[in-house]
Amino acid sequence: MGLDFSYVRQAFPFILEGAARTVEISVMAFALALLIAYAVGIARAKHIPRWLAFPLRAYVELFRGTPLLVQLFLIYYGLPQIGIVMGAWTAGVLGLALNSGAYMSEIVRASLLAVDRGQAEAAEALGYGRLQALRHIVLPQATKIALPPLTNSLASLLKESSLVSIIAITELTRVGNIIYSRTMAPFEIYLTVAFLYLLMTAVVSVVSRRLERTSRAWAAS
Amino acid sequence: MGGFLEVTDVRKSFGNLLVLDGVSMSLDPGEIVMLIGSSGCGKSTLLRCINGLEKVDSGDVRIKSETLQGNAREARRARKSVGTVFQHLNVFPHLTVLENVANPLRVVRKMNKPEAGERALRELARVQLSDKLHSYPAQLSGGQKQRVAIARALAMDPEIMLFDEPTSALDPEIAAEVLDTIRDLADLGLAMILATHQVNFISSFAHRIVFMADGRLTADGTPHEILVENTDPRLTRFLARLRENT
Repeated sequence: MGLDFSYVRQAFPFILEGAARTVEISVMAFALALLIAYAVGIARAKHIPRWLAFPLRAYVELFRGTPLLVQLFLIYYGLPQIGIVMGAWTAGVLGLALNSGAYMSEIVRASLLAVDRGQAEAAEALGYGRLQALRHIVLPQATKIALPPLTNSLASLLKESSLVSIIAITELTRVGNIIYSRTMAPFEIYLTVAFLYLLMTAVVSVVSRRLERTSRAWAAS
Repeated sequence: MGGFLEVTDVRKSFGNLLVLDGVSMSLDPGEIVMLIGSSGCGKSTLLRCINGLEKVDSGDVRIKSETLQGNAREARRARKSVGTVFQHLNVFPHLTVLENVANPLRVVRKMNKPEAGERALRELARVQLSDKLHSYPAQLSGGQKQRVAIARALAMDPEIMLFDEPTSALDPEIAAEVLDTIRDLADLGLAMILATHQVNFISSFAHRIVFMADGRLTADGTPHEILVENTDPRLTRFLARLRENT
């Protein structure tokens, strides 16, 4: 028995539309996750008062310690029960961003701590204020360190975004499910879906490698 | 004279380790003081108290009558006239040579870009790095990096320069080029405190030598008094060991 891609070919515009939504939701969630990661990561790398440190740590531990799927259920189905209602799209973006943000904040925090302490001191000795030193001296160096793992997070996020298919967002995986339910031929459609995910993560890899190369000039030794 | 730099009975410990045990010293404008003593005797900590990187436990550090022990803003104003060159070549690796000198001018002194660039060019010419403006620190030798650090500190118009073993991380031949640069600074009329083991070289232009042991300044005098006439047994032993190694 051979594979028959004729229906996949016919439904290809629909599939591409799903892929576009996957990219869309991933990019939005990643942008939000970056904001969260830098805010939380910077705060946690600094000496901050306990009333602020505790909730930030709790956030990171909670979102890293529970499954994304459960988090999505809690946001989309659970929150309305206490009066917080949001659309599937918003819930999907928020869930993905909060989840990735927790992991990525640890990347940012570790990268900040990896920058030689002497850099901040040299800046301080030159008269930079704390925030000025962070912004002009420490953060650019930390970002260089964080770049490869952060792009890695983007690739993960692209793949994990398939989970939002279960809260009725018609992205790539859900399109696959819909086509499967019509054709009862899972192999063809899921192969196609898998290939499209691979294509997306490959693009991320290429961009990441290029970014690393351009910032390597000052890290030659 | 006094009042230019006054360190008064400074004590500092880290946990149980007493590093500065009542240090007092003063510096006049344009005076060049060499700070010697074995590693771990507190030289670095003293310099870090003078540029405000460490808070003293007790005592006071005043620069032109402004205390470094007040709140953050007061301390920042007081330290403005202090430039520091560290042992560990703390140039900024993500900035070019030119930006290393220009960035502090723009961020701290609020100069505009052309103004900061022009000033940076002048300071880099002084340390003979005009041909490396657009290199990154990773492409420089240790001595060149240290000269960038010197130019960067000088651009901020300090009146006191602190050098914390500026050549001890460098090869001897490379150390020489940095030492030459430092000697040229002596002609600028800057006050300097140099923590160093390069006794023979630095003492040729230092006005005073201060010897530190166990967190105290135990000898203070002209190079001749310290290197030739001293009778302090610890200082004699220290100098003998130093000469053995060079």
